[in-house]
Amino acid sequence: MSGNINKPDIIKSLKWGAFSVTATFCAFVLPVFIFTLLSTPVVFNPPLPDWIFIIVFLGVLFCAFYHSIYRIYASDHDLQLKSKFLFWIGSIIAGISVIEILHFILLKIGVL
Amino acid sequence: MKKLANTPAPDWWKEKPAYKIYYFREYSGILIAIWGLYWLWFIGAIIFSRIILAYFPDIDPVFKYILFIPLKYYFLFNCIGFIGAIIHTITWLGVMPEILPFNLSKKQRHLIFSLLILVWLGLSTLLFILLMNSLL
Repeated sequence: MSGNINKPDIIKSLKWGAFSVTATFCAFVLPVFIFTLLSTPVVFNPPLPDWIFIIVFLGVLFCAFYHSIYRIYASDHDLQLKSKFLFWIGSIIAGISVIEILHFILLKIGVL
Repeated sequence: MKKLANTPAPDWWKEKPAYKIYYFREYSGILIAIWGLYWLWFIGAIIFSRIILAYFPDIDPVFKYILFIPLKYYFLFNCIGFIGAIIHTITWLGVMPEILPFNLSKKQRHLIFSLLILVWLGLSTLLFILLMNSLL
């Protein structure tokens, strides 16, 4: 009987786990964070905001992005659109976001 | 993703109003994705403007305009993200009592939903104060 049970796919489980965690984070943090951005458009004013804001901001941006792309990807599967389009778009955006975040951090700490 | 044994018809989601509501919720993720894309563009505009304007001060005005679009539509894109986030959060908190592994009455589920909303509002207020203190 045990031979018929498929082994759990670790990578897919981790991806789903990350989706679940980012769901909680997004649900509790994202609305108030965007509300803060709307209340105080401080990002326009140099110097850049302090580290607490930047860390929260990067965390929120990553979670929002991962969560929304995963959700669209899952919906794509449920509706049987069967496109590879979202996969490639998601991969490109993820690559750009990682480069930009690294660049931003290097600028902030004065390396660049 | 795992392939289902009995593949449903492509328009299965049109069968019941509840399925349509479910997809309305699912696709509110698009609004959050737009918000995320907007911020990538925004951060990119700040970084590249520093580099490009330092080396090429006589930059093409059309390129400059495109580069700075995110700064112009700051409130519009943040409002789009805010609407998506509110829909997503409230519907998610609404689903939580339904998926708990207990036999709860309708009244108990409503009570849990109300408590979750209160906890969410309390945490949001706390975070708002913290963020404002770090910004101002």
